[in-house]
Amino acid sequence: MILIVHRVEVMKRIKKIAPIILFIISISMIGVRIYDAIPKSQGINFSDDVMKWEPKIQSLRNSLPDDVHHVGYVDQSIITKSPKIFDIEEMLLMQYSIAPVALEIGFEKKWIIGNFSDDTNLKAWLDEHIVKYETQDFGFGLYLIHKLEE
Amino acid sequence: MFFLSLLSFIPRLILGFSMIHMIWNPLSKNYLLIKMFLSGAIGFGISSLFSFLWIWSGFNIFTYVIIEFLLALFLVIYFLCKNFEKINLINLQTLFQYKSQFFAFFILAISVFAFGFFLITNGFNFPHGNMDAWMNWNVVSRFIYRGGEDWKNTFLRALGHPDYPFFVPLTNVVTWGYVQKDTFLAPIAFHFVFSFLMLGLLFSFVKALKNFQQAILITILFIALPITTMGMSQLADFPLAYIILAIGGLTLLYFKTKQTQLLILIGFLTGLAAWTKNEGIILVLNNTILWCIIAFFNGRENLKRYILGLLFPLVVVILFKIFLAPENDVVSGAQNILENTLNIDRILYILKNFGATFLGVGGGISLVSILLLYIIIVGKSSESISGIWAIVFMALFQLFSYFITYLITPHDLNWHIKTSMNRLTFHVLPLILLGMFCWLKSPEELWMKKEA
Repeated sequence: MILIVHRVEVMKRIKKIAPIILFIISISMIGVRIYDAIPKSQGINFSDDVMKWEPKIQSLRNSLPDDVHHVGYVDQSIITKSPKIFDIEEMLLMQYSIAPVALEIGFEKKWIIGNFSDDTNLKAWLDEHIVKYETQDFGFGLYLIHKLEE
Repeated sequence: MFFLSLLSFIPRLILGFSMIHMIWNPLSKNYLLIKMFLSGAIGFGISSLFSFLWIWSGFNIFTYVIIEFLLALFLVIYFLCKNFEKINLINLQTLFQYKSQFFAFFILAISVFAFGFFLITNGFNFPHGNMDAWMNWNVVSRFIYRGGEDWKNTFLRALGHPDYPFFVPLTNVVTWGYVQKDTFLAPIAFHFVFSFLMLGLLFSFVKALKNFQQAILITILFIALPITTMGMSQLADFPLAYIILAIGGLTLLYFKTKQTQLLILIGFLTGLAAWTKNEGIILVLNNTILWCIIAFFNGRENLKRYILGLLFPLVVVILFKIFLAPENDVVSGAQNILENTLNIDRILYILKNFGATFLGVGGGISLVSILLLYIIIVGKSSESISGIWAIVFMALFQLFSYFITYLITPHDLNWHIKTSMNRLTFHVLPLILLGMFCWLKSPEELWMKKEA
């Protein structure tokens, strides 16, 4: 009987300190988060993939005529006919950077953006598939291809 | 530019506050904090809905911004003139009358400051948000702002999800309209403010429904969760979770006060959820069933008011889906539905991942385990709060719909779970915490018995 009363008393005490324990756990977790966040705060340099990507695209974006709203997009995977190497992230980055111009995969459009990791066979590919064209090279494997009237 | 973006939110917050104040019990000062923290969802929501109709009608976003600003200015002057005699700074003291709890206030202030610090470090380290954010939401903002009258080209995008609704993108566009530049700092400022509004809303609901100490406990616990800085990844999931929390809190307030004006706000927020994310459409179904049940027992008037609030945002969403948005990839691509639904291995795999996601909510420490232990020790409050069942219904219905989505997804299941499950479970996490801490005994209750 004494044991039961004792256990009930202990339980009551645990109940009363439970919110304090939860409070302390939460504060400790916040402390750990502050500790983790301090190095991140020192390294703030506004630099993610997009911030690194956008300056590369700036001149290409400026070269697109104002009345062009929809352009084609080709990358290494199309030249080499290897769909597996299609870089979806770079295509999405390109779409984000050149908005409000919409990208369409392929070379059906009059204006095409080329994004190549290796452009050694580009001219041969263009000669074969587009025939009459003019290109602007923006470095980093980036090209603006303009189909000309045949 | 960050601070300019913050300033540009003021007209929208005024609009939100004014609408709430006009609809819900203008004479009551008891719920002032809730109204303040709720004004974000309502204000940004109204702005986004009207700006969408504005640009869809072929008008310029800059003209909209001027009209919105003038309207907010008019509302401020109107309310100041109307309530000049009632404005009494002493009343504000009632919000912060807990002088005896200086220590709790002090800890709360430090924790809130730390929360701001987490948000800033996360936000500024990923200025454009995470990949899903810039490829699905911020890109749309750019199409609308930079595209001018050709903004509909956003639906021509080859990849991404052009069918997503416009609440977040248009909020960014309106901010850019105010600051006259499509700066990446505007979305950061928006998600920063929304994160604080959510924290404040959780605090104010628990304070109104339970008491101050319970509110402090839930707020600090919420700040401690690493997932709560998810807002700075700039996805629409955090705004949706905030809206779901607002709906849940107002539902509990309705059960407490029986003020039917609240139902108009609940309806509006439900429609707004559908304007925020496609998952919000499930919430419309979820909440409409819920309010049909409540109306069955409490009278049809409830349902009428709910629908009155729901109507405008829902009509906008329906128009958007019918006339502009392409089909959703999950819906249009769903195949082998029966086969997938009856696949026991698939069901168990999804459930296992849901379990693991919930268990992992606390980061290094399993918060769920701690909370379960806390529930067992502390137990149900004797101050009964009716309507907790509605919170449970909302959360379970929402999670069940996500479970079904995973079951029928045309995408690789593992990829789909990995890329979305923690975001989806977060939609209902603040709601669950609210329901739980309203149901549980508060520290005041536990300690009062000792004195007795």
